[in-house]
Amino acid sequence: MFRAVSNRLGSIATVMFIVATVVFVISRVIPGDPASVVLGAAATQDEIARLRIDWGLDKPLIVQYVAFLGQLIRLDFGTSLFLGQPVAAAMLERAELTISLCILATLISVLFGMPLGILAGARRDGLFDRLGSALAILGASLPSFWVGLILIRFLAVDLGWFPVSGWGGPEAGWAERLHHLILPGVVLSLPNAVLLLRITRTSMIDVMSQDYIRTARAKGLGPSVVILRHALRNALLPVVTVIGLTAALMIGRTVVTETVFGLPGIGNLVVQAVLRRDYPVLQGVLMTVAGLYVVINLIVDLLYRWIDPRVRGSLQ
Amino acid sequence: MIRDLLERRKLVLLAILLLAAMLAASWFSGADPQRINIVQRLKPPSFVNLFGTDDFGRDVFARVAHGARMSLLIGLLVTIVASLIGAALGLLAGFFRRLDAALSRVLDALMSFPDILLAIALMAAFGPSLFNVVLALGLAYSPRIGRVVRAGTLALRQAPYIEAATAMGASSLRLLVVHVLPNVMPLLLVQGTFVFAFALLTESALSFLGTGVPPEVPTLGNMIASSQLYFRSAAWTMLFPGAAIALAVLSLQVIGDWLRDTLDPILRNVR
Repeated sequence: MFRAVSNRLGSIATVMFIVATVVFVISRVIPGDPASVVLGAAATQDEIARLRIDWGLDKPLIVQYVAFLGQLIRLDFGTSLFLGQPVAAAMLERAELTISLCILATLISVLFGMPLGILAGARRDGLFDRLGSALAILGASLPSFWVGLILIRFLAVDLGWFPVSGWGGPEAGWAERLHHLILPGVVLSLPNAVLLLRITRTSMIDVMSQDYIRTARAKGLGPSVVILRHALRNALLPVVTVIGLTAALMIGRTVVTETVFGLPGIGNLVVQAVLRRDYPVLQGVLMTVAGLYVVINLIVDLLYRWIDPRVRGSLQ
Repeated sequence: MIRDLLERRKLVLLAILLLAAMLAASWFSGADPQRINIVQRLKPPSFVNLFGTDDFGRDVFARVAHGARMSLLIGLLVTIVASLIGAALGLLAGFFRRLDAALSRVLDALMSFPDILLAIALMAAFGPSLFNVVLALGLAYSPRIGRVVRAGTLALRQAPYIEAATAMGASSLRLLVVHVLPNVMPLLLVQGTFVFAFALLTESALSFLGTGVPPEVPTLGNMIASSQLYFRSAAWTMLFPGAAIALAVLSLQVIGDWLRDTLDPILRNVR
């Protein structure tokens, strides 16, 4: 176990180093000098030059690169060019919304994806299986922002069941917040629910063909006992890992969902940062999201080794 | 079982026909997608304008037909770019042990960005243009191809016929191009079809966010993006282009699933 962990940590350090390099390269290629962007058209050459020195933009790229890596190690993402606050603070301010949204979407996807997947996989080629497979492929084909616009148009504008955008004022209670987040949560959960359905189905089919299931059936146990008590436990193992990984990938897709529903979260922050060339914010969010993904990946991997005794033996 | 297979083939045929129809529709749509007719603006679907008209009175059907062709073209180009970069990285990583660790970490690093986020960031760096969208999405999707090709190459390297070719003095380049590449092609084809589908979705999302192809390029994503101002009263301006994207992606996924199952014997040997 210890060797497995230390090996993984080594490769994670390498991956994060490459991630940081990619982020640095992207942010330096962004056209337009950030100093003149911030100061506007009225700025004099002197003022621009002074700001460039303040930010260290006058130094050679390699020096800036090393400084950037040093900052990252201290988890310092610098200061936003527009918001007048540190990037970390800007992200923290918006994290509550984005994390709530991701948790809600994960819950929705588990609530729909897993039972449908179990039903589909319990009897291969049965009614639920055909239905589930059709649903799975359809759900993975819909552009999420389009689904969002349709939900807004018909459920929020026409029927008035849900608010059209935002997530309530600063004093809104949790019930109001939840009411605002339901539609975005559904949109965000769609691809994940579909993926969970597929994985659960495959896993169930795998387990249902095992000898011990045949034995359980031969003993005369009813289908519900065989499925719920015997098959489900083993079938859910791979599903758990997928829940973790898709939750990490969800953060990326909040960019679209938050824009459709006008939610001031981290996804929205990225879009604003890109449109305003606010590169420290872009850097900070990219590093955080990629870092989260890598860390969740590691946790899921270790958890999987720990839960499954068969994998536990084969640590590299 | 055989009946299922036949049904499946019909479905795939339908998907292929649908994609072909979307490519060809712009030649048959009749109306000019750019003709502005302010008097006829925001008219609901009718026999004259099958999908209604947009805020400039332009025929939505003609615009969807043209937009679909443009979006499919962009998706195809993205797939080609991603395949070229991904296949090159995957072949090198899978074949040369010394390169494997480094290249695999690069693929891991690129995979740890959510695709849309990486695409947005690259678009911010490159600036908005059609070429840059293709490049950004191609880069964002290259690791998906790269990983699969690497795994295939890794498995093939042990194959007896590769050993035989090595023993006969074939150079590394010859081994890769003549002996390995043709045998990872099925993998590339399957993965490429799915990348094509994802690229269509992500490209339209980029347009929606305002970080995609310039707004004057008639893609389905841009149509939905520009319909945002008035879709509450004129839903058809948003419904039809979105449905076209969904149908195209659905068709590609049906084809991809079928390819994967059909090529399975080959793929199983690779794994």
